[in-house]
Amino acid sequence: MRLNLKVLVPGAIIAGLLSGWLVGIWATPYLATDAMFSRFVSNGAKSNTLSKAPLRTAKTAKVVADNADTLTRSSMLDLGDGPLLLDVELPTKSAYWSVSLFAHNTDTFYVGNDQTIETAQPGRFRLAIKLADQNVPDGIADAIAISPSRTGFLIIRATMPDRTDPVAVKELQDEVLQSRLQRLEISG
Amino acid sequence: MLIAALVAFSAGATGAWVYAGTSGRMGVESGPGAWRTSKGTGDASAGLVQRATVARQGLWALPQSEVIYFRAITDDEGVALSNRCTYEIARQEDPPTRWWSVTLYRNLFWVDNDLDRYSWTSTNLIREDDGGYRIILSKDSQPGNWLPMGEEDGGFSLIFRNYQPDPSIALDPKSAPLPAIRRVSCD
Repeated sequence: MRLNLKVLVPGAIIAGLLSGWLVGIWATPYLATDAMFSRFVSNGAKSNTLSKAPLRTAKTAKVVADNADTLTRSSMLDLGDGPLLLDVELPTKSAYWSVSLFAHNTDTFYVGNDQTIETAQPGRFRLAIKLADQNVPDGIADAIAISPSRTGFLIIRATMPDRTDPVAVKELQDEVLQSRLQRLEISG
Repeated sequence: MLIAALVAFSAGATGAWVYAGTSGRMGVESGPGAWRTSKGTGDASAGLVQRATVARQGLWALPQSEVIYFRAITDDEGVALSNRCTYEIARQEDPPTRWWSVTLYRNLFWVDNDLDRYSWTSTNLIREDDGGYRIILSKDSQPGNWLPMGEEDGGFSLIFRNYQPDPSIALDPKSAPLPAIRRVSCD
């Protein structure tokens, strides 16, 4: 049987383009996350470690379409060694505070803000983050977020009264820096 | 033939990455005036193309239940925003949302300036006597709520963020009380 290359080659090119496009579009959220993680790692960031809450400027911002009016703390998440516990003292000097969690493919799998979360202890919020097959002790957290992927991303956002007011920014930074992220030690 | 298919696959995948980073598909739904929004931003239910576009142009954006983002790349007459012009963004009323901000971007990053002023928010605006607000976009210093456009040309855009919005905004974004973007003058 003789192959008709005049038909097969253009067909292969079209099939290649289409399949490449589809795979590329599907993979873009994963690749965008990985690209950002690479930048964070090259700047010294580690998984499961909250960043500080610097006042970002045009010279230092790394995230596209970033919000200029939030102090943020973030962390790459890796749940491979077990669940995590985020322990927050809610800031009082912010008009809006939230914590959000994103899967490897950028899907938001948890978001809560200072008006929507429920806490056992006023002013303190504890959020457990785990994979579906991991366990966390009863009562250790106010809420449990189940990640669909081993890796993910956590962002804490607190709006600043005014980014050009250094005293107000420092006061809010001091509050936001009270948050802790730690691995949950599961006994037994 | 296999090589041709592999090269085409690579070209298709690269094209998808570039398209997601440059496409205007983030703003698929009309808002008022020049503002555009997108129902699926930050949401797992969004289609593949939109998810890819948001990942490239608004990574880790929150879903509409938490934040509704409106984006504008033109003034109200449909003319692209340019630092050769001065614009007024004004409205008498605030949107029904807990906190809002309007931020200026060039190529999706803040415009560098000596004041580090990239935005104005519902908490730091200087208000008009009637409670409304007025923001001036220009490369030259202005009194009041000045948003510097910088000296460098490029693709400018505005993002209006509504944090913890009233559900009415998502239900009918075209009726959201967002500010007009009026071109005042040009060089």
